Amino acid sequence: MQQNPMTVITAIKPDSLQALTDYLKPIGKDIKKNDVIQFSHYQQLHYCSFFIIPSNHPSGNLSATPALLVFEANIDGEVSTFINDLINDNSVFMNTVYGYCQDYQDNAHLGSYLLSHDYGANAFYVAHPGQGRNVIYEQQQLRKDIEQYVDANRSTLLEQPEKIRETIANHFSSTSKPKPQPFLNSNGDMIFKAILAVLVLTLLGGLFGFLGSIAQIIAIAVLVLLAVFAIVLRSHESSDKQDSRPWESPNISAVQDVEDRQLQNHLTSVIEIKSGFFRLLTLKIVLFGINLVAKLVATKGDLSGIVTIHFARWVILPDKKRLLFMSNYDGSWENYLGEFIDHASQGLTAVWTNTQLGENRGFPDTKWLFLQGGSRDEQRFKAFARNSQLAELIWYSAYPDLSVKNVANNRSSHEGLFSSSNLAAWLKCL
Amino acid sequence: MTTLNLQDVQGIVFSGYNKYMSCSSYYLLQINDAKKTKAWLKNLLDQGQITHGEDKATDSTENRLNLAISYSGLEKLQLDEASLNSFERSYREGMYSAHRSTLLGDQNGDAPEQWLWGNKANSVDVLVLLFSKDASIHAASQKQHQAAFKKAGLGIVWHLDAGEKRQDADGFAIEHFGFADGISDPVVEGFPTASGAAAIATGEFLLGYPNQYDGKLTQIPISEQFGTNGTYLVLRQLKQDVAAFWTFMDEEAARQGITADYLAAKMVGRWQSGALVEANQDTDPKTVSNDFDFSKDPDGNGCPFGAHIRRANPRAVGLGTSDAESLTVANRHRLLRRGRSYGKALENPRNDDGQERGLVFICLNANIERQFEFVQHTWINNVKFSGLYDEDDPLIGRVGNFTIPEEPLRRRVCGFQQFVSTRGGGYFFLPSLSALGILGNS
Ligand code: HEM
Repeated sequence: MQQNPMTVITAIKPDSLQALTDYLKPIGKDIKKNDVIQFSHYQQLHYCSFFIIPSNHPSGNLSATPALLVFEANIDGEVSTFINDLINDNSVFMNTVYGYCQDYQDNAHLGSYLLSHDYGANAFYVAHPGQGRNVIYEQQQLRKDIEQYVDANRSTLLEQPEKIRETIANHFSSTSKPKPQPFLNSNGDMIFKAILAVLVLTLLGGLFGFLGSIAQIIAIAVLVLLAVFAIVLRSHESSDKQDSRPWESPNISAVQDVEDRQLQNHLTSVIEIKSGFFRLLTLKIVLFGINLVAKLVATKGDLSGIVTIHFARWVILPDKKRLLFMSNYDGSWENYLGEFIDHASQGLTAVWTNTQLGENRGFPDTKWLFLQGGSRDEQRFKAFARNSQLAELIWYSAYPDLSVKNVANNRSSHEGLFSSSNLAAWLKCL
Repeated sequence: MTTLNLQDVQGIVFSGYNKYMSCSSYYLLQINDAKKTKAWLKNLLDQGQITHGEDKATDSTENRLNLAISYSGLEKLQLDEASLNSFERSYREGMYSAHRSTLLGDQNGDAPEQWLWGNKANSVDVLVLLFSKDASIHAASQKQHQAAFKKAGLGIVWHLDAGEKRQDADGFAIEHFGFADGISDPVVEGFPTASGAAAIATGEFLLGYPNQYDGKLTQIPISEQFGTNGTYLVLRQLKQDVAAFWTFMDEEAARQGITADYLAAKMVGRWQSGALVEANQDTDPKTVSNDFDFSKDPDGNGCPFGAHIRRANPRAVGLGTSDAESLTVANRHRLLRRGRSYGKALENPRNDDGQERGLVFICLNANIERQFEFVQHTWINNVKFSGLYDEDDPLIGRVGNFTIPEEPLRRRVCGFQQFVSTRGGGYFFLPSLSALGILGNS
């Protein structure tokens, strides 16, 4: 089953901001036991969050826009099914929340209201495409059972590896076989390389006239366009000013308050896109590229070296002036930002170099979109990210005690019951 | 090549004075009269009592003294708001603050409310580290300084005596569980102690110098003049329950058909001699070396992933797609350890004598959040470290589960008690001598 991003963004009625906050906050404080809504009811739901983007965030530049309510969900299957389930199951919660929002009519129109305000994602990353929430639950239980069995019988199990596997597999013979993984998980990599190769070959072939004169003209035009792009980019980069103001925004205490309450964390960042058509276009191209990589290459719990993200997405806000980033990740913020810098600084620089905290408070100085500078300026980058963050009011994780690596390891434990092709590696999973 | 003005850097940065100073004490002080404290500070400097990097100890050296200041200390010394805000956030919030406690795992029995010092009720402004050559010199020095504290308007909130050190034949200190300590220490660019190729940039341990991120400068508080050559000092009083540790090793080893020494060594990652634990070893080879990076032990069959030293510094395995990348990442989170044991050694390690003992854990770093807190939270306390499920550092953690990779099947040790607990702690700034001068004259 495919995982999908839902990002419902609605404008809050000006006089309802406080009431909405007061309604959502207590639920977030007691996500497991509150008597308003139990997110664990929804079997397709991996993660969800509610938060408010104040009209003056990250700077006062946009004060004419109303505050926005964002409802983010990472789900199995269709968004419309999830929305219907929510409305059917808990219409009180849904109508109360959206009653505080502009253009809301009534329960009958709520479904179409939400669907029409769903902005999905410009780029969406899923650590384990195809792993439904229930599969993740089942495999965790299975791995636990295997662990207990091995603990209890270790001394008698100690034999030849093939024999160990046989004994364990026999014991768990009633377990059903794992579903095969989606096609793209194993073949996306090759498809991605093929696309790149075709692009490069067409360009080169066109350029040298092997593909006819029209192709040649197009190839030359593409190169000229690229050159123009590079020149315009550099001129922007040399006049942009990085943020040199003090390191912290007043938001940070609120953000820290909802952080590190469990093993996983949620990050919400909202940042201004630098003004002008050029930066918006560049951002869209970069996000398109990242989305492609996420779909085809980064399908094994590893986003260019970052092994702690369960789900992440980028969404350009409806006003086209701000960029929203959300991530559900393992471990601390310091570790997460560190991993970004250590392993993925090119991709993230290519995205956020198009953004700023406000006038003359840009992303750390960058050269050539991602090649130099940017997030490599560790402290300035961390401060920039920190200052763009918002505290969520509600955040739910369906499996707060599982890391990205745990989920993958659980699946391997399961698969190994039915295959001895990777025996040595399987024994290490237990 | 970085050249340091050694006279401006406090000596503890370069050395724990283990070779010549067999005694030490740690005074945790509260400022009651800032004016007097400033005069005392100025006096210490004028008399050359604060040990700096040029001040090399010899056989005849009697004392060493270093001094660090907490955030509340700087507040009491009346720094202005902009200056105060220029220090890093963890330092400003303090180790006892709610968010820091969550990160460090200081909860329940380890919560700041239970501490002997360093919490809200017993907050600490100044840390004085005193070292002496021998016990009688130390006694005299303590007496003299205690009198001086009184005159300086400084109240003693708490103090810890390291007492006489235990040392093994190689000259390594022995901590209370019986393991050689102080073996792995980062080799830092520009330090007088660094011979040969330095692995770690100066800016990781001293402010004002290039760090491990493309040679950027770590943020300097207040001004270049004030901040350069200073660094942050983390101190934690960690109580060790030695009898519980060895009693459990005995019992569990008997249950599992292994030896207590083997089990304990797997937990630390080194044998008691300090030798690295390697695959297919049953006893201590007693060959101490720090020349390894785990690349020969990618599955943890020698040193388990969960072992203390592998968590505290994972080196070349597990933090990147290649050994080199992993090492680069690991080296962005290094600590300069400068602590010592406190309390008397337990004569029979299986038999508790009711006295408190433990480690005065001290480490230096240019960025508490990225170095000390990161190591404690993301590596030591992290139950998901290295793909694990539900275990933290078996030596100093609280969870009480531990996986020992072995061929063909891993061994697990479950449900054991906590052996180390937090009794106090604080974040301090270890200023350069010029910064101390500025404070003394302010
Ligand atoms: C009572 C508490 C502790 C005890 C008994 C203890 C014991 C040890 C021992 C025996 C070693 C191996 C010897 C060596 O390499 O020097 C070691 C290494 C180390 N410990 Fe601890 N330790 C304690 C607390 C801590 C804490 C709280 C931290 C940091 C948050 C820490 C960080 C380190 C580091 C970084 C190393 C060196 C790792 C390496 O580079 O190989 N230790 N410790």
